[in-house]
Amino acid sequence: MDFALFLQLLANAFLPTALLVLSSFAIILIFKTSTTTNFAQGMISTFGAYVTALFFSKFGIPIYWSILVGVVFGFLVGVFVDRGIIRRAKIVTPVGKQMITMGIVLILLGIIPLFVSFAGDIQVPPIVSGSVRLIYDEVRGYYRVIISNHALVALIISLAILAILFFSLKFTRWGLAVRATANNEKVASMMGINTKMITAVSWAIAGGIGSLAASFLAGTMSLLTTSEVGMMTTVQIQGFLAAVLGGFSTFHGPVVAAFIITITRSFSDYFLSQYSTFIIYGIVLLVVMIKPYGLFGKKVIKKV
Amino acid sequence: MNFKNTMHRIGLFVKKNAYAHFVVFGLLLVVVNLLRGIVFNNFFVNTVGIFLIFSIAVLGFYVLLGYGGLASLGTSSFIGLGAFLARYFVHVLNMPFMIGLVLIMLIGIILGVGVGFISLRIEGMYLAIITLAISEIVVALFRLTALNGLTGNFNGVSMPRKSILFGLISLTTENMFVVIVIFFVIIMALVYNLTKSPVGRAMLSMKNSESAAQTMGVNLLKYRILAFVVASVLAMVAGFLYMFNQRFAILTEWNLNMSLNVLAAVVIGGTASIWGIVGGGFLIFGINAFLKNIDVFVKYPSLTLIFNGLLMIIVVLFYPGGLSQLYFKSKYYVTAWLKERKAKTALKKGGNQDEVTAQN
Repeated sequence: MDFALFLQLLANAFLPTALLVLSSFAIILIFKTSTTTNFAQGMISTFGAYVTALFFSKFGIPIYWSILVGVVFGFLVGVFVDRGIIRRAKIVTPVGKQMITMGIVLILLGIIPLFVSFAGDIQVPPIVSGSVRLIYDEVRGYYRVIISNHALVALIISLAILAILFFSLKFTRWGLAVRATANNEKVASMMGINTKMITAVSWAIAGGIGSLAASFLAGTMSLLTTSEVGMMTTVQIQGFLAAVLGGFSTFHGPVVAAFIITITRSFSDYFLSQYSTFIIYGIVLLVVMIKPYGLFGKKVIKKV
Repeated sequence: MNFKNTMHRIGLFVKKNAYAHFVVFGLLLVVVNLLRGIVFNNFFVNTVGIFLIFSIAVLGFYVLLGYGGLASLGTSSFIGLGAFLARYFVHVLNMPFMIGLVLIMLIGIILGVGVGFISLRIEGMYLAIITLAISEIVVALFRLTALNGLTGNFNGVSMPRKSILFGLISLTTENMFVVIVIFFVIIMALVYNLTKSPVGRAMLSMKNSESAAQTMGVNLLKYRILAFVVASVLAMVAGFLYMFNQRFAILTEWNLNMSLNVLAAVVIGGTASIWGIVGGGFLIFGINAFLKNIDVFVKYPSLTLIFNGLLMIIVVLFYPGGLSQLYFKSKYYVTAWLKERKAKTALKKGGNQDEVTAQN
């Protein structure tokens, strides 16, 4: 394998990495503050992308602003799910919360076809068109490495957002409150932290960055029709796997695992073609068998 | 007089015996099948058939989640594996129906034991996601070109309706329904038996507190493996019947949503009673039988999904114990109301207040 191929395979991982780091952060954020796995993460994000597409195609708003509208929409859906539904439950168990998110998946699966039939032909364009070309091969007469600008910008935006989020988690009052809530919700609320607010904001952030990721993904598709409803499913499943691989006990674990998964995936796609998925999930399975709490996890001690 | 007496005895037996309830339920379903085209349209009966098939997988999941306390998101791949292997064994290798079934159950046992061993190492949410990974691995295997003969990749596989059961009964749509009902009733009885046995109680103690169960001498490994074996065998049997009923299967169908639907059926049903589980299964897999008769739902098919989702959220929000809780609660209110009414009428007749309370 020469340097050019290495670079190209790395570049192929840009867009998947951008999507996966955002999704796995959203999953871990909700898991830490609400102790549930959010099955609706992918669906809420997808809905955000459809809203972005509607604003871009039908109202003629520039793509950056349309994406912002989609993100705000994702925010609102997230807040609604937490405040409007989960908080109203009489007794909430983690499985109960999962079922609620599952119900939301079904509702959105039903709403999106109606949405499309009213909106007509909608699409999300790439944020930036064109591509960066590197390493010119003089013998064969083409560039060996082609990086799409869309993927590059998507990766930069995602990493910037994650950097801001991790910085706030570490150094702001909000971050301290989130970490306290994640540690022990009851004690945190006794210490005067508005845990309900923290949870709602977590759902909002998850919805928002999810929508951003879905809009990035939709940028590589021509038209958003009813058949693109499941576009985020694979990302979501990989997000869960990243969370397991990195461990649910830290915020950074899943994000690091997301990098590992997408980059390994890009290389194995090239060298192993159809056995790729099989190998990746097999590796995750093996690692988790050896380290049951993930790469960065800590053992939880159980009491009777 | 003697005849009347016997009938009364039979009536009492049916009323008291749980297994008799299952048989009566099965007989009612057979009657529904006989009235196909007369009272119930074809779509209705077929949807009920599909509901029964998936309910078999749901019953397996009921043992796993409701008694073992173990969550799995890999059910769909087991159903899919059962379906593909059913076609391969019976159609491609020309095995008899029953031998194919036994082979599939054996494979289910082996896989269940494997997952059970994994479950001893990994727990809770991790386990659910790891089973999701296992399911993804199985689906990735289905996609391999080497296995195209088994799964047909993205084209799916179909099977002609030539299979004969015991060399006597051809499996037409009508007969297949009866076969499904027989399977369903037998499996329901077996699962009921399991949950009421010492094994079921041991599992329940494991669900409530693993450490406490271990202290009382419950062998965690044994019961976890058993729970996974029951779930995977029943899922594969469901897939087996699915293939014979639908005569077509495609790998994209065995996705996360299908596994979540099975999970949802158990949660909506509530784990207090086996009938709740059947009700939950009907709400998830069979509600179309009724909804498709309403014009709005025919015009916008996706409204069915919205309806299902709302129903699910409402049940989880207000009845965390599921449909069985709803049933027991309403039964309690109705009996309380009846008692009160009885007391009031007794009062009106001029009875003594003390007498009435004494009666109650």
